[in-house]
Amino acid sequence: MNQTYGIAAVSAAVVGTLVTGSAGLRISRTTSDFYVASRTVPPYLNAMAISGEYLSAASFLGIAGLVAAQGVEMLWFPVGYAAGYLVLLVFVAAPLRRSGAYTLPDFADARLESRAARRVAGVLVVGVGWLYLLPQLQGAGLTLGLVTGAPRWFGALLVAVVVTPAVAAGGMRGITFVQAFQYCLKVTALLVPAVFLLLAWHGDPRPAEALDEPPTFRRHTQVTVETTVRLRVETPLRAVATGAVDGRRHDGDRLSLDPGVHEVRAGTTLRFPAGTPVPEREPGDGRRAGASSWAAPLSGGRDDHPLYTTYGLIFATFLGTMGLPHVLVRFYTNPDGRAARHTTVIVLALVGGFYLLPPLYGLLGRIYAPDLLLTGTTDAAVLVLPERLVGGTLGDLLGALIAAGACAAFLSTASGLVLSVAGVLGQDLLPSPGVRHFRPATLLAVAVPVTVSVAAGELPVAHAVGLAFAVAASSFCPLLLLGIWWRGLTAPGAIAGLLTGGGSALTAVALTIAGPVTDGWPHTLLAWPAVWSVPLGFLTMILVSLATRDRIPPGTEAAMARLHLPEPPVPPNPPAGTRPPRSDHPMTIRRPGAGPRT
Amino acid sequence: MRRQLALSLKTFGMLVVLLGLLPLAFTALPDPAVRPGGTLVVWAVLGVAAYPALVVIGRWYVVRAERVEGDTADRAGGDTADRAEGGRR
Repeated sequence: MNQTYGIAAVSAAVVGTLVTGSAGLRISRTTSDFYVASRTVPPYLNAMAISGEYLSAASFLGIAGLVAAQGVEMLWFPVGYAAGYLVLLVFVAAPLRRSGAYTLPDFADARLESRAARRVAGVLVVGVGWLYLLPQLQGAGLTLGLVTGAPRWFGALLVAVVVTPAVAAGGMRGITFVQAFQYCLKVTALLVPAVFLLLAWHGDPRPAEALDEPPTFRRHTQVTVETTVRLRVETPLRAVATGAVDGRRHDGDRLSLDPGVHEVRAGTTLRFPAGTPVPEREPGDGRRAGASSWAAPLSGGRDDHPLYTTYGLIFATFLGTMGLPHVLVRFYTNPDGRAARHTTVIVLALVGGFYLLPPLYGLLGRIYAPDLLLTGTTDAAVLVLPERLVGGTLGDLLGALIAAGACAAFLSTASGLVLSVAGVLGQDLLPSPGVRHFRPATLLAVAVPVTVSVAAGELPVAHAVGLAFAVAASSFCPLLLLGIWWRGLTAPGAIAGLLTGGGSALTAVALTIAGPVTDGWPHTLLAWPAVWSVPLGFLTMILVSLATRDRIPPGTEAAMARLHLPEPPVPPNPPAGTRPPRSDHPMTIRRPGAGPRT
Repeated sequence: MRRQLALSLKTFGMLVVLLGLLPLAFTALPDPAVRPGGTLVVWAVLGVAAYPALVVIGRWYVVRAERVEGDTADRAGGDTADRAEGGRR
């Protein structure tokens, strides 16, 4: 990829973000009352902002990579990300807006009148937020590495350097404009190149069957592996190697690889003639990658129980969306519950429209960039395709556009996440809360995931997102659903449910990443915890609530009425759940939903 | 609230029936090695058709939910005092 264009594009995305942000900041400063202004944000603008924040590096790069590597089954990821908003719309959107809660801990506090529940929810928000930040940082490293040749850790550091001051200085102000701008940038960055790619594909004299197995190198291809890989060769193939293969040094000599498994050391360059079938990459633990079943709807990627895996994914994404800390915050900028519903429907359309594109890139990536399958960096498929398929200056320009979009993707999601995590840290978890401590909290919110990301090297990125969703689904989904729809919920029940559901999912996540169990049902159960941890969370919450029936909060009836009754057409002054006018930062508001009980 | 919950559950049920049962349906598809057409169906359903379906369900829900809220407001007689009373009960 042309580095000059790439650096220019990334800089443009960063500068554009900062400029839009500061412009929005100025606009909102001149408005007599920022919060009144924010409550007149029309649904479509708000929806664009929500979508802009939601479509992360995982959506922009990860889905195409997963589809390229593992096939049609991975289409469940985008479907689940979108369907999550439908579940959110149906059960949560309007009541949550009416509750006036600004964060999940706020909701727990307002609904259950318990500081302890608030604190537990806070810890979980921080956990989920950090878990979700990791893949964003890795996406940043990947993109910037490809575009500028910088080492992997540089991207994570750049995100930290851009996001921290932006969040610490401006907080939520003006961010609506930034996020809306970034949604447009992301869609453009995938849509425009997609048109050219489709034209190029159409013009290809051999538009090979995308579903061909196994994929083949379409032209003479040179691959440099960055980490040592083990390749499974099905039919004998020839290559020219520079480096170490199977423990023997090669220096530009021809070698032929017999069927079997071959080890290629890090740094080795292999050159394959056109028409060579792409060798299959063995995962580190010896299980076979599912490349041979790429086209099958339930290939399950590399797991042993495809049907269970698929349902694990569905549970996590459908129910986890509502528990993502940065998603919830945005609903507060809606004028009222009705607008919250309308906004969510528009979000569904915008997000769904976006998700039509990444699978296309995945498909083309499989045909035109099969070497990524070999090196295992399929997340780069989106970025390298214009260069491969279009080529020339146009290809470079399109590649730069995509890089800018990817940049917008990880910047927007990362800033949203850092804002939510820092808010909760500063308000609920650090000693002596207050706006003065918001800045150190921001620093802490960024520092921990950056450190982990730099130290851990390469985590299974796409998987980390799925796990974050699983934890959110098994802790916050029960809290929100039962809190909104069931009068019997008590604080001890909620705390027990949060701890059991979220705790068990987190444990499963930790075990999966640490990797003591690598095979069979135990591995599958741990890698896709949502199917059992969500019901576990619900069950614990209900049973403990029933056992502590005398602890039902006294304000339950009032809280329920406020959640479910529509706002009066002309709100009395001030309407329930309105933030006080002009406060220095949204997080300074203590217990915003407390209403009649304060 | 009860009617809202019923409506929400009904909508969620639609989602479960439409999307939740798909993996099971896919297992019933013929082996792609034998009939590659099945794969195309999966691509079309998951890659394209799912999103308009989600939007339509969402839209349908919003219309119904607002009708329920309109009824509730009518029953309250449009009197905000009534509503406040309900809130404090």
